[in-house]
Amino acid sequence: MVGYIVRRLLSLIPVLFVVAIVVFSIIHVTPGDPAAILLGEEASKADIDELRSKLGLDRPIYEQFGIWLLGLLSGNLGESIFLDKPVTEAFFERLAPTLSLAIIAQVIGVFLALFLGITAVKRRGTIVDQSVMGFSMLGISIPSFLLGSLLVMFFSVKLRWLPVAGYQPLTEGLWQHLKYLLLPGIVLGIIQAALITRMTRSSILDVMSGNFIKTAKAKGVKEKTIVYTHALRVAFIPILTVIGESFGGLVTGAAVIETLFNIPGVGQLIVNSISRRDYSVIQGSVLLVTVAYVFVNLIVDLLYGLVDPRVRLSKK
Amino acid sequence: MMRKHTKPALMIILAFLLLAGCASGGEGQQSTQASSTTGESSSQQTPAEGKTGGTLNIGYPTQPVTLDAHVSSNTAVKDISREIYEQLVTLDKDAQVIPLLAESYEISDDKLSYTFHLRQGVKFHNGKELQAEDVVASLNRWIKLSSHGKANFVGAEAKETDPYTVVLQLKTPFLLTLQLLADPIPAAAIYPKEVVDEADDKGIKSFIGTGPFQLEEWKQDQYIHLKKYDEYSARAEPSDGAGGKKEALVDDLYFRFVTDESTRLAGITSGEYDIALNISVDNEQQIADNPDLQTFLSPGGMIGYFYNSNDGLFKNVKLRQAVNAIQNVDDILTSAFRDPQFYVKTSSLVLPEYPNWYSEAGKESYSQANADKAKQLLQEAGYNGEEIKIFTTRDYVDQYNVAVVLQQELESIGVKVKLDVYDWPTLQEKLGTGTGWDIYPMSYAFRPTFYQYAFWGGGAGLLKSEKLSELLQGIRTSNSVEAARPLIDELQQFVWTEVPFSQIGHTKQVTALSKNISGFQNILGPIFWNTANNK
Repeated sequence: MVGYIVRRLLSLIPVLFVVAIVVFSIIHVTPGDPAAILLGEEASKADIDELRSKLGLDRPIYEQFGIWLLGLLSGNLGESIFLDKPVTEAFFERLAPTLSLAIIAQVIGVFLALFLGITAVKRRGTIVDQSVMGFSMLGISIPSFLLGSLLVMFFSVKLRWLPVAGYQPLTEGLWQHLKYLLLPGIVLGIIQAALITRMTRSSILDVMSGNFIKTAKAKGVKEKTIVYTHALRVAFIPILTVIGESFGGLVTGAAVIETLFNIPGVGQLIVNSISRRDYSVIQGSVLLVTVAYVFVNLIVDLLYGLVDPRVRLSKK
Repeated sequence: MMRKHTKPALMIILAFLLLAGCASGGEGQQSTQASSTTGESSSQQTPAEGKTGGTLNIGYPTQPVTLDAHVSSNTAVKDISREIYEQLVTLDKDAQVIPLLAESYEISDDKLSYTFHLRQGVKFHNGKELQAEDVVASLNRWIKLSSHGKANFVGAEAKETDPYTVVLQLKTPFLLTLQLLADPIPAAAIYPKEVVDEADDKGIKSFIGTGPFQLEEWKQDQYIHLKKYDEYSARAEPSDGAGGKKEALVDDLYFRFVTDESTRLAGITSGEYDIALNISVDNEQQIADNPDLQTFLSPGGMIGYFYNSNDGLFKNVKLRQAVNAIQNVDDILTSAFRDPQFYVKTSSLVLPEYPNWYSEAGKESYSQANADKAKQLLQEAGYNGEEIKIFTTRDYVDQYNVAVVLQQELESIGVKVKLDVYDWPTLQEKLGTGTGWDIYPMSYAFRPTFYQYAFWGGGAGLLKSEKLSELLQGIRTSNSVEAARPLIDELQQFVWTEVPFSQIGHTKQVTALSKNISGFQNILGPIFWNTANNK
């Protein structure tokens, strides 16, 4: 088990290396100069050049990459050009809101999906099933900002139940914290649910035709127990995969939603940094997000063992 | 396959209609009459007579990069800094210079020395009293670091003659010395001497001023919180423009950074924000129709097409004149700004409200909309069907819209045009190379004197001309604005004859206010003192 984990973690290294090269190349090739943006439109060329020199931007590309890479090896991701603090500090400050949002969205998404998926299975072929599938199609296709704007128009502007935008950390109180994350969480949750619902429905249907289910039915086990205890447990594996994938996506920052709802999370940080050409933050954040993604997938793989004893046994 | 998806699809459409219908219903009929407060160009509401206390939540579009007013020409820096810092002089509602931190001032006969007598008993936010040493340190830093200082005050120096008197010694006379000292951007803000001494090349480390509000907290990418400064030393005269008596009627100002306009709009509509800045003209109707809100218009700036007069096809003045001749300003301005209440058609760089700088010279070249003349000038220019490149960005919708209209106007007379659209930082970089492009639309923030327009400092591609430098220099060394008058007219004429750029017109900015707000003003930017929240 430990060996497995260690091997998985080691596989991070080549992945990170490739990501580092790709992200570095892309943003350095993109036109736009962080020094010019920092100093503003009326800055003289001399001032801009001076700042570029200070930031080390006038060195040849491979030298800049080398310096950055060396820094990486000692765990230093550099300093943000705009925020005047180390990249790691800027990133981890922003992680809390994104994590909260991701967890809320995932919880809403999973419960909604399970409920809808199971309902669809129970009433398969009826209008209820059709509606659930329709909803799922809607959720997958709708752009997140459109859904977000619609919900804001309805719940914030019309009903005034929830705030339009903003963020309060957990230290300000649980309800204060949740109040600002509820709408964005619902938006992301609905989109998550749409993805997972289909998976849930088809996965359970698949399993329901299995022999062990027939045995259970023959034994006279209640329908409810069959679905929730037996079928779901087996069907959960593919569902878990989808959850893992999508959680990775949530943690990596729902940039659009964070911008719309003004949540100071990782997604917003990356988007703002791209507009400002804050090279070190973009590079550092993408790397950290890659690490997060790999970790989430590792945890999902380990969870398989928990949910499905067959996987657990085969590992031994 | 079709039938399987029909029902779910119908459900989706139904759900959509319901949601959208519910949300927009109840907003009332679309009225053709916009209930907006246009005011004069100094843009004031009825004077401050509201209740005191409370909070102003301001939906603000961008976060300032710094609060060091000396070094930045950024609008966000200006708007927030002017609540915190003050200058020796400032501008009244007609953009004339009036004293602020100075009690009075004299100018020597040779126009080289400006003596400022400081008010006494004025306190900084840290409790220290304002003295000459603070002014000297701040002014000298501003001269060294600000774009105004570097362009116009080379060799100038501020000196203390006694604890409440400062002399600014110039190397050469400069007509607009006081105007630039009063300019809010980049502001010659007065900091405590210690703050100036502590500053390094990244900027000042603390933000302390003498203004009616002080910095309480800056949460990066979220908000800046300013608190009322209880010991603010107000002037006795009634409020006049950006000067006179300033009172912090509310206790707290929150500049909430909301980059997305639809979120600002939703916020002002739901009452979460009391004031929302930079509402686009397209959304203004929504505010005007809402009984709980009011729109507030203020001068936005000038917008024009700037030509690459130094490289490529447009080095040829006839070609510039040709492109200038085809322009139909009504079409262009309507495309970008929808309704005449949002723009001012004028050939003058400065609005008529500022008669010292307003000039109608050259106006026959403005908005000619003359296709025949344009074609003839194209011929005279030797235009041979080459492709003309217009560079623009969607990050500023008005610039993009006017670019598209120009493209169409040019194509209608047989000119080949390519429109290249980039994001803002990329656009800046490409324009900065000085080559590879011919025209770009650009808007410049409103200025009461045209000497102050940023592009004279050498905007991308701006015509390098002896005559131009001569005229600008002549104005700057004139003894008075009256004496400079013939040069002002000549410069305005030059702009229309040599056409380094084609001015399209002046624009208005829309701010949305809650009905509970009174006393709001906009003098070269929003002002939040003397503004009350009567919620």
